[in-house]
Amino acid sequence: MNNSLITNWTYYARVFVQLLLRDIVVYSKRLQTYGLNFAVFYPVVYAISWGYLQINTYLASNNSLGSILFIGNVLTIFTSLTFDIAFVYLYDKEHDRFIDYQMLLIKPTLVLIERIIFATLFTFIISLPFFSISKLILGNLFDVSKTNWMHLLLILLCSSLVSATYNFCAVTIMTSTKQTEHFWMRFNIPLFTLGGWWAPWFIVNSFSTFLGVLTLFNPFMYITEGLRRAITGNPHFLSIQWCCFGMLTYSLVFTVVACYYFKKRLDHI
Amino acid sequence: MFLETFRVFRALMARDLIVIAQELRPTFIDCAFLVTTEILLFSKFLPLMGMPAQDGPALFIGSSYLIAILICYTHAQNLLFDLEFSKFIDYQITQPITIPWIMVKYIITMAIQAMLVSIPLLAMGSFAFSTPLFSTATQWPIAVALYVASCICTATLFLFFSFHYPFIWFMDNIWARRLSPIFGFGSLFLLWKKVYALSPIAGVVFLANPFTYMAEGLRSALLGTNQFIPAPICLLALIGFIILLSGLLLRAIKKKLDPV
Repeated sequence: MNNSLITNWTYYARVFVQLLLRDIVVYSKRLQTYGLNFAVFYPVVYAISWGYLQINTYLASNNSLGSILFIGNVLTIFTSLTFDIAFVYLYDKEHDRFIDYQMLLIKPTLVLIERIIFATLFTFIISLPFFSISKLILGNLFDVSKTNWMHLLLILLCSSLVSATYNFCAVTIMTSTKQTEHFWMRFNIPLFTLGGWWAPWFIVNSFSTFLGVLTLFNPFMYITEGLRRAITGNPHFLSIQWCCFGMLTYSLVFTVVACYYFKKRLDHI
Repeated sequence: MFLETFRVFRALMARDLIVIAQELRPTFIDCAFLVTTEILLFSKFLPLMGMPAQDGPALFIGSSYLIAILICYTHAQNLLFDLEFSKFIDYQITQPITIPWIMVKYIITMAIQAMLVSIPLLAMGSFAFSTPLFSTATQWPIAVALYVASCICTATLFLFFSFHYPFIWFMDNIWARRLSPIFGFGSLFLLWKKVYALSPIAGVVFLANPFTYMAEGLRSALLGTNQFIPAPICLLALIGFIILLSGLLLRAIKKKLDPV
């Protein structure tokens, strides 16, 4: 009995690794494109436009905000990239249904978890150069003298995880690719704006305590607050522990919901 | 011949208008979310961060073009899927109508939808600011002309993108390599004169972006102050961009649909 259980799990682990390797091979062919887009184009545009021009044109009276405003832009990388990876599942479900073949090889839930793990690791790696490139462009305008690099890496990893689980949760709930446009307009863009893309949490909270409490239910707020705290070290932002706790809790909730809808939509045993 | 072309054009247009009417409510709800958060941002959050409150309405006017951009982007993406998979376009070009007329139909459809959704939302947004967006200084004729020209220019630009770029390139790169520079180096979220005062090089770069003229022109026409590029200049520049983009679009269509 125990032997067969161990054999089963060894088999699952081997297939799981194979699926992960498959994703690595597939996405390594697009690494140059993703690398250029997310590690060069976005950081350059955001650093010049948000990090330099916007700060100096209409927020000139408050120069300490330089790094704060610009840091929120990294949300684009997490959300766009993990959505791109998650969207493949939705498209496949409507067309080729390659997922059916994968589910024959391994426990269906593990197929979903493998994709979440891959999306997390891939996004984490792609997001690493964002702040280095931005620092190169902005120079002294982007103050990293108080940055805690270990905290920054930890927050980047947690951010990748929460973005991946959020997008996989969304695509498992969606029934067609057509719904993605509503998803971006009704969920992502408002969550970005109220999630620290522009204004950090203490600004939202100082405007309205109710809205401040409400935005604590926004998973993107923990990404931007965590990054701002790790980079600036300013206690105005939520603490690293609190942000990690928030992101891990959300990741767990999103994964459970994604597994539930994955089972419901694909109707596997 | 012209009468027949006009009849087919009218029929295709009528079909598109029915589709727009069906999609109007969900699109309006989509955009209402966007506008609500933008109002909060420009009227409340950014002033708390040190932005002069009088800049709020001007920045809101510029950012309102996001609605037109997102609607035209959705159309461009749908057209791209059509060109790659469904090929409804093939049916349309077999009709007794020339390709430029079909393109005019697409542009009008996109522009109408963008205007139908964004104008009421822009009007609703005007109540949120202490400085009203519309006043006695508002030059209505030029504001309307600018808004129509802006929506036509945006539609032509996105139509050009969908014909010019291959499917995979569009899906992978359009946001990173085209749209984010358009947002970042245009006046949608920035005021041109302030940018020029800060960095003349950046100011000149901004002038190569049609969205600079769209945002600045509408600000100038609605708010009626001299802090922006004058509206008539913006209108002329936009007409120039529409002509340029139409030429590029026709070349891209010939390359994509008529390779012989």
